Amino acid sequence: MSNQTFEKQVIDQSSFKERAHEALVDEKLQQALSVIPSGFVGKRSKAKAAFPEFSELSDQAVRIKNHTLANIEQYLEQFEAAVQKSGGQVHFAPKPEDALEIIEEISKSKGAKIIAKGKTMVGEEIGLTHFLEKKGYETVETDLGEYLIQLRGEMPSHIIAPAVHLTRDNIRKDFIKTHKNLAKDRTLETPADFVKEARHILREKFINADIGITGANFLVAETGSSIIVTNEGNGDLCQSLPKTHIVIASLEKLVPTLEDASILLRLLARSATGQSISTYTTFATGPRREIDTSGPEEFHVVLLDNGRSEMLGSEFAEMLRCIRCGACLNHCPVYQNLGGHAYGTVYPGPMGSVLSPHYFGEKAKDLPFASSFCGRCNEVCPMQIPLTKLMRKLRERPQTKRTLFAKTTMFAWSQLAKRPKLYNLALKAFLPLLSIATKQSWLMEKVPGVKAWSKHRSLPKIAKTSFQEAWVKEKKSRKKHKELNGVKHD
Amino acid sequence: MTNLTPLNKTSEKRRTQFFKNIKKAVNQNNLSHEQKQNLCKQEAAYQKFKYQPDALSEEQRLAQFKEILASQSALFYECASEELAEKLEELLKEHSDENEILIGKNSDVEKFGLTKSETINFIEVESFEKNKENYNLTSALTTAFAAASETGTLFLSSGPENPTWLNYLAKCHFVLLDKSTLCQTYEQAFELGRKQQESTNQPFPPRSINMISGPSRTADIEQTLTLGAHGPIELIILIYSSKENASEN
Repeated sequence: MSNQTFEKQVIDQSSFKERAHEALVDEKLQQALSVIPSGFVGKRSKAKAAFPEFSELSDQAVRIKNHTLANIEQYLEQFEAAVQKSGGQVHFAPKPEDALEIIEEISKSKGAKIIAKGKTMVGEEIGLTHFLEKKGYETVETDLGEYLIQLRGEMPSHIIAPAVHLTRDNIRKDFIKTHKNLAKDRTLETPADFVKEARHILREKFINADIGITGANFLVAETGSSIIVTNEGNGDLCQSLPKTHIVIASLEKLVPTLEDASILLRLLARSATGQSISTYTTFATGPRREIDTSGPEEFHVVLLDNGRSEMLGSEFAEMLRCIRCGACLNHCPVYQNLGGHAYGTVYPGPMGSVLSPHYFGEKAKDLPFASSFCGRCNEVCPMQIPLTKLMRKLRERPQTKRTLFAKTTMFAWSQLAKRPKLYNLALKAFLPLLSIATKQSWLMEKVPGVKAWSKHRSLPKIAKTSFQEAWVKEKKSRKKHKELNGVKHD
Repeated sequence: MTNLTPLNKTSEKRRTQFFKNIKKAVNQNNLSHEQKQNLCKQEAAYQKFKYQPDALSEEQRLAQFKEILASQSALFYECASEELAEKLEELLKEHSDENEILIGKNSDVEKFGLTKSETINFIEVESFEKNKENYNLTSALTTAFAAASETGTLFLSSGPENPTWLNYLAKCHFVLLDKSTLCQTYEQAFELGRKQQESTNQPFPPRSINMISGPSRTADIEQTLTLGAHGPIELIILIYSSKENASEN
């Protein structure tokens, strides 16, 4: 596959600024996004409060991941050996193209026609569904949210709720258009109506699928198990009905033991959906055994690197602790207002702003600027990843894209900030101008650089003197006041 | 059961490259003295840590288990093992229009005399491919090897008694749980599973361990919680206490 095709599927070519503007004026999107604060944010907060051990386990979770990453080579080898012992096979994929080729080779050798796919962010990252469809396999997304966006040919807009940007109106239109065998005048009103229809349609796909592909929330080195966490049960149908099960996962999903996985599981659902645990958590270890009467006959794990080893050896290694819970997205004011598509890659929000430049290079280099640095993401991250610190580091990198306007203004400001006298002088000259401009709002709309901001907002009245001048005056008056009252100064 | 494909030249090359990149990264990680010391401290703390919440009594575990399961929309019934047959008949009438239940081979149903029931038709199944016609089944019955009260979670293992697909395809999923296997934490449940596998000379973990904490659900339509996404719409747990276990406790 050419790089161009690959990029089109996982990366939007326009700039973050353009996409952000589109998102802000999209009324339907804004309506869909309005449920995030009351939904995810409120539920997480309750779940955390009901689990006093959260902080203690979060500390241990950080240690587990740091330990695993420091010894990753050993754990990769241990995992590979354990999978082989259980009768499965591990395939190593340094690049997305390798992973795609491996999966295609397996599908081809099995003579597969239908592939049932569970939700996998790594799959999204490498454009897996699109690739398999192009190769002629009927590839069906079985997670309901993923299915909804597959019908629209869209990218997910959230890592755990891929269709959070869609309303029932959107979905009704897509269902009527796609599910042609069903009566046109059927009732599609309540969420239950939609769920029932999708269940009926997708079940046919499950039972006829030749291959099931799932992601992995964790991989256990000591046992060679892959762990998936779902609420729908679709992942379990993908890995228990078809004759071949392929797991696609990235190398940082490894944890040493089942006990370590248990610690991380306690944090994942609480941080993601505010549940104490997701409905289904499944540990899959190898193919069907001699005593088994059911289960897949083949078990493959495709391990992807795609820029992660580079991160491991850099100042961004901490990002590899991420367990993809989505808490940083849900709490981010930028994400809450724009949704995921504005980020232009499959990983939105603060975590995506750090990851995407590493996975997708040049095209995602404006993402570290998609943050107000309010720091809520740092606070809610169960893996204690200093997201704003990492975004700041990315902004400082020479290869990071900045607009000429941003570069010039930042340069000018830094020059002034380093010279207090010059700064005060400039401020004195600027204040009267600003004072006039705020009184005449039409004038502000003409000022280059602030036009986009001032178009929808008016500035408050500007003080006549600067804070520094006012402070000097205030200090003098306080001194005088104290002297008059006979109070000594320190 | 599977034949491993031997590594061909390309896959060998990919593997070598993969590990080369990892080695390079690990060697590149030039940590300061302070960072290294910090990592050592973390390492020691990592090795020492054990998740041990305050231990609950059997009664407290049961209360916690029930409370959490109810909040997760699961149904829950307690009875003695001799009453299981009667209870199941009653529940099946209530929750299904059909009198059929799919079960695995040598299931506990025989042990508890459930198969003697005149009103329930037990259908024994094996692999999915041999039983494809049953894909829209209404009811299935499987057994849990343990449960953890901390999050109201059942632990089921794959095997001839519990074809994994039965847990996910039925509309109504019945699960038998022996009261004496109700633990507090995941770690304790795993330990119980390990012992059970060892006692039957089977490796641990089994091919699949399925942790189930309620009926299937989704919130993908406008974040509204809806039950029965792909899997069961109802999860009904029958927790039984048997005389032999009662005397052990």
